[in-house]
Amino acid sequence: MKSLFLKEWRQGRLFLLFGLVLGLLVPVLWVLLVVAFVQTASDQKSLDEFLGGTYYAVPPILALAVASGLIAAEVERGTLSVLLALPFSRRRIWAAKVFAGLALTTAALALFSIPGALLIRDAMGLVGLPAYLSDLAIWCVVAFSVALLCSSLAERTIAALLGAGLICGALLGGALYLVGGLGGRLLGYDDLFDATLWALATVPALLAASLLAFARGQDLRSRGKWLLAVPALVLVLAMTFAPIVGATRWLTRHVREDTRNLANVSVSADGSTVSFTVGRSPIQYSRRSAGWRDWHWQGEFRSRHLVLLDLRTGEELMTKRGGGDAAISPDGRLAAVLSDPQPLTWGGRDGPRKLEIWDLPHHRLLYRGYPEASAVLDPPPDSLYRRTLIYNAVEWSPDSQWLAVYNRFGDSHQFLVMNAEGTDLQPLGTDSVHQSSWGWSPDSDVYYLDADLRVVRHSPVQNADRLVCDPRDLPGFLEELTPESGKLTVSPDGRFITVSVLAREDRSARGYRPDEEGDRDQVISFVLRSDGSGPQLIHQYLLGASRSISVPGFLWSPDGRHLYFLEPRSRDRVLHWSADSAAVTPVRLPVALGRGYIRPLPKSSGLLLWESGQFWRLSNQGQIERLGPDLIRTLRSSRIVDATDRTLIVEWANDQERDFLAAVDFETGEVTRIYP
Amino acid sequence: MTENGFAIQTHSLTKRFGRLTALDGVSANVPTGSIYGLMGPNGAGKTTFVRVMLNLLSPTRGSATVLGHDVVREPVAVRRRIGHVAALQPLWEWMKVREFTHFMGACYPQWNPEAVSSILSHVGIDPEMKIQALSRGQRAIASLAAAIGHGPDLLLLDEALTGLDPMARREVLRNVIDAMHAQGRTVLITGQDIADMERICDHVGFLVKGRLVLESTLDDLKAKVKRVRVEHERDVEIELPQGALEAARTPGETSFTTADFSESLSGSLAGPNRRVEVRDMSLEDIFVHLAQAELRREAG
Repeated sequence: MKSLFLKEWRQGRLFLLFGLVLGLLVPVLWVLLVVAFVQTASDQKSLDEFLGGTYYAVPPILALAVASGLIAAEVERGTLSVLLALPFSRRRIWAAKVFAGLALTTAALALFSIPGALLIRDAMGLVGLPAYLSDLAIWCVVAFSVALLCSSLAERTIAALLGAGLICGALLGGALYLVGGLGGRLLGYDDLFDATLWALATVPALLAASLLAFARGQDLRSRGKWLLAVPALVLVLAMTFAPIVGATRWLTRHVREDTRNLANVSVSADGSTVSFTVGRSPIQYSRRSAGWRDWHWQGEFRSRHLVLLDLRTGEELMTKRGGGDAAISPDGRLAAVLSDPQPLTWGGRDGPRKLEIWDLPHHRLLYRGYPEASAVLDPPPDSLYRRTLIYNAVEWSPDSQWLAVYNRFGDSHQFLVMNAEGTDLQPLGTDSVHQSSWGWSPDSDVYYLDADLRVVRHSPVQNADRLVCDPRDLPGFLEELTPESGKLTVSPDGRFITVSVLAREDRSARGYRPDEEGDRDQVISFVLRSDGSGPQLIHQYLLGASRSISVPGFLWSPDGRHLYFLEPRSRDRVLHWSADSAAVTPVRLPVALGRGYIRPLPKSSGLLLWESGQFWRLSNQGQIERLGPDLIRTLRSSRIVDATDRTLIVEWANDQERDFLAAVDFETGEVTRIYP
Repeated sequence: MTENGFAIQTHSLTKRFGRLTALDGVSANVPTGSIYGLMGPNGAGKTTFVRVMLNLLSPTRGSATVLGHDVVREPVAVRRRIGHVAALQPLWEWMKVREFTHFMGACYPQWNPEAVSSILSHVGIDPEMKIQALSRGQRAIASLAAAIGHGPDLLLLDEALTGLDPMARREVLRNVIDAMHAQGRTVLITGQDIADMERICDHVGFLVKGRLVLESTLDDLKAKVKRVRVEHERDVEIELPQGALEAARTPGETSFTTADFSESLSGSLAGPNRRVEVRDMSLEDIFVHLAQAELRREAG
């Protein structure tokens, strides 16, 4: 066996040189291409795909080349009969060839990667290859197996190579395209990774057919050999196309389903529906969030789903592959879904997001189109987060008739209102509009800050604007308003609005001194009636030398009588404004807010505070009360995403790294799993 | 060597390739220690027979035993004890002769490198030469050296001497085959150089169109297959004996070839006014006559 292995190794050692030469050529080609692309300002995406494609395509081709010659070359040269006359079983000879072939492929690939690692170190993370190494290994094994079968059948190396190339190209590549492209569009199926695994599942059949053909190959004319291969080829065909006919979904139901990256959780206003995105895979397979594949293959390979769940029954109202952000209309009837942005470049520039509007009870698509850009919103105006931004790109009007979409594309911003059919598009803001500078009134008009930072009320029905107020008329240093901090909220009853703007001092009035720049710039927040009358300054925040702009997030009680907001730079104090007293009073929190959460309680009974697994109720009168047991163990790795009357919805990854969505009764501490 | 004294024994061995029957019920017995010449015209099935013995091909029907091992059930045991050289045997061109013999040596535990080296040096093959640089004859010698390096109990030479010049051929025959024979090992040679066969073989088998039409020791064959010429009166017709392979009649003379000659046959032909002349035949003549007779019989 060892002698056979060494003979095969030495016979194929030219492939090592081949791998090394390719490894030297590709980086040179990269440099030339990058220069050419930069000079001609060509499509960046094409360059990305090509650069990644070179490293992704060469290894399977190398595997094809090595495996194609393992047996067919011996037949072609006539040396196979010498080999078979040696005192070894054919299985051993075949195994020696396979092991030597795999070793050669691995070594050739290692040599192929080394020049890239040395010459363009860390270039785009490609040369490290950790993130996509597993997928690449799968494809190399598949290509190797197909080529080995062809090598067992063909009597010339070139025939085996061409045959294997055709099979890999037509079956695997074609199927993947079908699954990812046409299949994705027709069947909502775009999970290429599943297809890769299914292709891997054909490997045993391919190897078995190859062994069978080799064991009996000398004895059969070509027709007989091909007959042996037919079942394997049929299996390859069946397995490769299996995902298209829903086999993966079948497997998903019968095999443990992994859920990861459960995110973007959002609960409808009436608390009846929850939407979230989750990565699902029928077979446990860890993938890294970093690495080059994220910019290049993420859209194709990750198994992202957008799930809409009825919280009362647990029924999945909608499951949509590809992920995205969903907003459910207040009446619970419609869902607006913004697809995940398709990356345009490895630098992370997002492409356009597709908007779909679904009729949930009838599961009917009402509208599908491309708003002009991607959308990113600050936290929704009814929540306070001290964490990172969440994405909540669309928001329904209270009457569920209109949809507000905030668009951002590169440095351009736009604020749009459209009806539920996706028509009657009404662009309201311009480039200067801030992403959180708008809000719905209860009667489904929208308030927003226009390009001049004036508060405007817009009626979508009439498509008409009405000026509410100009912050410049408000008291304070408002000579230079800038759009970067403009923020507007509307109270749930529609009686009040809050406006926050960054006001720059008129430096010319006091003499400009560079070291004082920014010292007296401040974010000023007002509360005023919705007709623009009765403005009241409720907060001033001096930026200071840090120039760090921080705008308070405002929380309205459901009846609109109480307004809460966190003071910038403070983690343990909430400011409370009451419509009755028209005064701002501080409320000290029992704990400093870290990764915790504050939200108004239903029935305007105060605030709910969660921090480190503990819950408190803060009444409107400033009283603090502990709620429920200490859930710090239960919620050790959880994140509170939203809350209803008594129940919190949380997500966390357990010890098996599987994400869940669960409800916690914070009075009893009982945890009920919602999904999966 | 074997329990029943035969290195190769086949029973109704048949090998078909689709509609083509390459071996048709061959029942051959190759005695242990013999030098067996398997002869036959082109396409007779000689190479197929050898390949079945090596289990490179599996029989369609029948059985074959080599050195006491069933070729289908125990192919590795068979191959461990036999050496094989085929006509114009392709070798791995990228190897040096030394690498080739080293590789072959690594495949057999009982490898004798000295024996191989002596054969190669005897014909002047440098072990450092690449195989692709060897002449056809040198390749044949290298193959032969590799085939006997492990001291096989049975050597299969499938037209292996093709390409060797007469001197080299004679050297091989003298040094290799005679040596094996002297050690009591068995050699099976196929080929069409019947002069060589006649010189070295002690057993022969004739394959024609997949059938083994005759198998015998060379001495018996030569004793049995005779050319008989009878001079007789012009108006007399001599009755040909049963089994006459080929006959020619002219007024006053009848000649025929028989594969079953005996003194009694000679006696039965003798008579007044008759002269019986019995001539020995060369192996080549025997081969031609047997082949032609078989082909005639098949034609109808």
